[in-house]
Amino acid sequence: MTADVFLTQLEQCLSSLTTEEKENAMSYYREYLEEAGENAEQAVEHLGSPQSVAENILAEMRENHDDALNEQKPGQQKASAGNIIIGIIVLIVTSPFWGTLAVLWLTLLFCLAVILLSLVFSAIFAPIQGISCLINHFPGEGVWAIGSGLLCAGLALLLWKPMFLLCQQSTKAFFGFCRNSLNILFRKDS
Amino acid sequence: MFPISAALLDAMVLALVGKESTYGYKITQEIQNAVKISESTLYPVLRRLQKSGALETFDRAYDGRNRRYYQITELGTAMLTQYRKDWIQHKSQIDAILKEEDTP
Repeated sequence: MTADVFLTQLEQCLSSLTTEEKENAMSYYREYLEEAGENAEQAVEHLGSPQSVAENILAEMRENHDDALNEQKPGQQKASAGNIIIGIIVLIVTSPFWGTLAVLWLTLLFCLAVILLSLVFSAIFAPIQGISCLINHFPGEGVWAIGSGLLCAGLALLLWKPMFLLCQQSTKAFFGFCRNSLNILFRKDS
Repeated sequence: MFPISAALLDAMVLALVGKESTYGYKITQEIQNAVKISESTLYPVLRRLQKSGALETFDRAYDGRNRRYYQITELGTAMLTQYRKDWIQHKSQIDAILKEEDTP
C-alpha cells in the first residue's frame, strides 16, 4: 500500500473524530510517512492497516477525551437548547402554582417573625409599665402588667426554638421544591 | 518479552523528549529500538501527554516541509521525576525476587 492510499483510508476511518482531532492525527501520520521518505511503503507496512491505526486513536480518545468524539454532540446540544425553551414556557405556565407557594412561604416567615417580636417587646415593656404603675399607686394594674410581661417572656422562650425550626424547614422545603422542579425541567438527556 | 504498560510508555516518551525536543518519527524509532511495540501506539501516547499538559509542540520547517517537535513542560518534568522514582522502586522489588544471590 502506498503512503497516499494509507492516508486517504485513515482519514475515512477517523470521520467520527472532531475536525481538530482528525487534522492533528492526519498531519502526524503525513509527517511520519514523509520522514520515512524512501522507506515510506515499508513504514506503512509496519504501521499496519489504516483501520487498526485508526482504532488505536479512537480507543485512546474514547478512554480519555470523550469530547474529542463528535458522534452525538450536535443532537445533544439541540435537545438541551429545546429543553431550556420548554422549561421557560413551563415555568411561566405553572407560575400561579409556585408563585402561591412562594407567597405562602413568605407570609409564614413574616407571621412567625411578627409573633416572636411582639412577644419579646411585651416581655420587656409590660413589666416596666407595671413597675411604674406600682410606684404610682395602681397596684392591681401593676401586678397584672408584670404578670402578662412574664407570661410573654415565657411564651417567647418556649416558642422561639420551634418557630426557628419551622422557618428553617419551610425555607428548606421551598428551595428543595424549586431545585427539584428545575432539575426535572432542565435535566440533560444523557 | 515483558509487556510495556501505558505508564511505562509514558515515562519512556517523557524521558526521550526531556533529553531534547524531538519529533514523532524519531521518538517512534528510538522507542522501537528498545521495546517491540506497534508503531501506531505512539501517536495516541503523544497526543494524550500533550492534552494533559506534559508535552508541548512547536513547528519548524525542515527540508521544505513541516516538522512538529515535542518538548517537555514543567508538569511533564515533574511527572518524569515521579516516574523515575516509581521505576527504581518497582525495579528493586522485582530484583529482590529475581536476582541471583551473589556468591561470596
